[in-house]
Amino acid sequence: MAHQRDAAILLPSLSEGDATGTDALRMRAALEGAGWRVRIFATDRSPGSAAEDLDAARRFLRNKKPLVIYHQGTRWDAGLALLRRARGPVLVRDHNVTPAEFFRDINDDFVRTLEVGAQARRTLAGNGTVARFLPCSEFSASELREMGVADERIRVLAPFHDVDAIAAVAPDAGTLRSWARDPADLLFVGRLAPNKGHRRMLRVAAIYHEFFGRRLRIRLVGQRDPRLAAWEGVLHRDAVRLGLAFDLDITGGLTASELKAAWLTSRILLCCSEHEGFCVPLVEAAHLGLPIVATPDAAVPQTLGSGGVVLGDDDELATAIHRLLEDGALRDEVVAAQRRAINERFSADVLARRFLEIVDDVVAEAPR
Amino acid sequence: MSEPSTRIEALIGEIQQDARELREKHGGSTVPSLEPIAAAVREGSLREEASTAGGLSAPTLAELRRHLRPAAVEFTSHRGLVGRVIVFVKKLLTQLLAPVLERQTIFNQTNLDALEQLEKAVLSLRQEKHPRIDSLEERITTLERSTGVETTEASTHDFDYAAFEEAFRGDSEHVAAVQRRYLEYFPDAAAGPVLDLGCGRGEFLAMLGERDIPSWGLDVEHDAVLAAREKGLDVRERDLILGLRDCAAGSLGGIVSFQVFEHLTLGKLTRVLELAHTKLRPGGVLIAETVNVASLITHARAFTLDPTHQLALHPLTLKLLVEGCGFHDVDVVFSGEVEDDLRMETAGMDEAMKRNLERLNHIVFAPQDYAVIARA
Repeated sequence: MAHQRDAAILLPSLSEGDATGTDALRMRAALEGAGWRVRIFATDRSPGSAAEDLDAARRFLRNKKPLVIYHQGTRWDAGLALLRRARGPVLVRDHNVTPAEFFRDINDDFVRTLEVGAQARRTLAGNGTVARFLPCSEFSASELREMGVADERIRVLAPFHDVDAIAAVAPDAGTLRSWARDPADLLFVGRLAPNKGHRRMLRVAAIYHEFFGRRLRIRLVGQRDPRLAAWEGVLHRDAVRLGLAFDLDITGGLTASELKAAWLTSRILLCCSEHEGFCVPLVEAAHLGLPIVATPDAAVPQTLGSGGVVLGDDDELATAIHRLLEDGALRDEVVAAQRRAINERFSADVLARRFLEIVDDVVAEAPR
Repeated sequence: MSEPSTRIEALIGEIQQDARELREKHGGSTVPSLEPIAAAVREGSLREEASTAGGLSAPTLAELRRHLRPAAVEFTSHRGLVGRVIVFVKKLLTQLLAPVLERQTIFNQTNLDALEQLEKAVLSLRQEKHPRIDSLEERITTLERSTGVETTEASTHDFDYAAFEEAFRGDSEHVAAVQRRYLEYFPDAAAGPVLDLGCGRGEFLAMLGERDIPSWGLDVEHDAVLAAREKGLDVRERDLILGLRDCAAGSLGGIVSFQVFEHLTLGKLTRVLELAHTKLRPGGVLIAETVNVASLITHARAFTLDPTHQLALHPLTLKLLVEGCGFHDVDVVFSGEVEDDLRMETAGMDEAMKRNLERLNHIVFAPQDYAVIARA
């Protein structure tokens, strides 16, 4: 079946360091390792990108009958038009869409973008020609079931990530020097957006101060979006209100080497995020040996699995932070448990194997 | 999903027990719970305003924190062996002075704590004051209406401004052609986001959108807002001052306003300019185009034609107001030449009469509009 050894990966945008891009590129590597010929097609491509344009995709789909892996993100009309031309089996990589409700009082434009994204996801869920949907977590899978996708068409596959590359990158010397003198007790890595639980982090730090009499340094790393500038205003305002004005450090987006410095100069990753389709920073923290304390929301407990110090109460979160900061042996134990739990389920080999099993199943079912 | 490992499970149990004991010991935490996000956004925006008006901004806080511990200074030198000796001596001195530096650290921390308390007090004062001002403004409007003295907003609500604009200002294509000249101030997406105050049907926003420059607009005219939204533009029906107040400080790359300032009262215009300066990032551009009342024909025709005009803004007056609100590099750019056939003929006149007519032409038929362009 030579024609089925061709695969096309379709996605709206491919740029270096972007989570969807990493996922697509690692899928290609896994398929190529199994003898597939893989081409990636995208509307937006960074210079020197591995992706080809959509004209090339149209020609490819007309001349061949490839396996199609379609990355669902926000609305992508050109991608849906391409999908209609697919004659081979289709896998949809389902990327979770943050509910617009989180942004209702922050930015109308963002609300509209997310509503459009959610609608696009629902439209795709109703597409009967899709052989399998690949959500990143059981949490996202349950959302797909609610949209009417039958269980046998869903296969959970965690996102491919780049933790090995992060482990290998050298920290930025200046940033490392600066933060080594001003280390963060609590770190969170994720977009500066209202679903990420930053406000709750601040509250937990205030409780810690009250219970244990010590101030915690909080560092928030994540891309800023000018449309969400009001969110940063809220965080500074909360910090003043909670008596943490001098303890909060919002860095904005960082380069890979600066991010490495942030990982190396932090003591605990505190994740209070209210909505995550998976949460790759948890995998990164576990891999880099940072203990994680988290709340049981969305996909977070599923991602942490058996290694998670997951607590739902703010007093308990503050207490957990205290235990981990004070007890080095306990900290090592937690780090080891996390690393085991993450590696056994999300190492590059495990993910590639799982992905190829799904592909083999779909290809075996496809009409010859 | 796998269950927590036995050790982690035991740890979670211990933590829950510890937390219970702490709660009993402290009688529960006094840290306030998180209030609704809408209130926090409003207060967050007020705080940003306060910080740019001389309070503690986030970078100031970071800088103060950086100098908290004088003993944590890092000594380096690029001067070879001599440098190494100097660094050694400095480190030695730091160690000898450790008790003094420790006292300095305590002093610094006490100061920071006091500043934090002050910041809290200022914020709560502003929180308390703003709703009162809003309620007072509302009461004044009601009072003015009941006594027959109408505010600007009240009079424009009763006036079909969209129809008036269509009849006298020209259609969207004409407006877009006139406004196109200001696009050069926004070369790419990095120049944004741009806020259009009184954006009307959104001609300028549409041109920015075509160039992928993030932008949105505010207008109080319901029909104009609907027309702009039909074109897919991000336009909110909101008072200019309230809309500007909601923006985070330093968050905007540009603020534009075409043929709007002449509709405001002097007090409101000053407040808009003050807020605009606060909300633009340093170097951000303000473009305010209005009727050139220094052109007598324009004053007689365009200015008096529109019954909602409030303020005859001479170019020098607006320039002065803009500078007074902290803007720099302020330019006045004139546009909209008056039709040639309206000018007084000079052909066949003697030289003295010609000169006089040219002077009159210059005063009476000066350009119809001008824009004040300035940097924050």
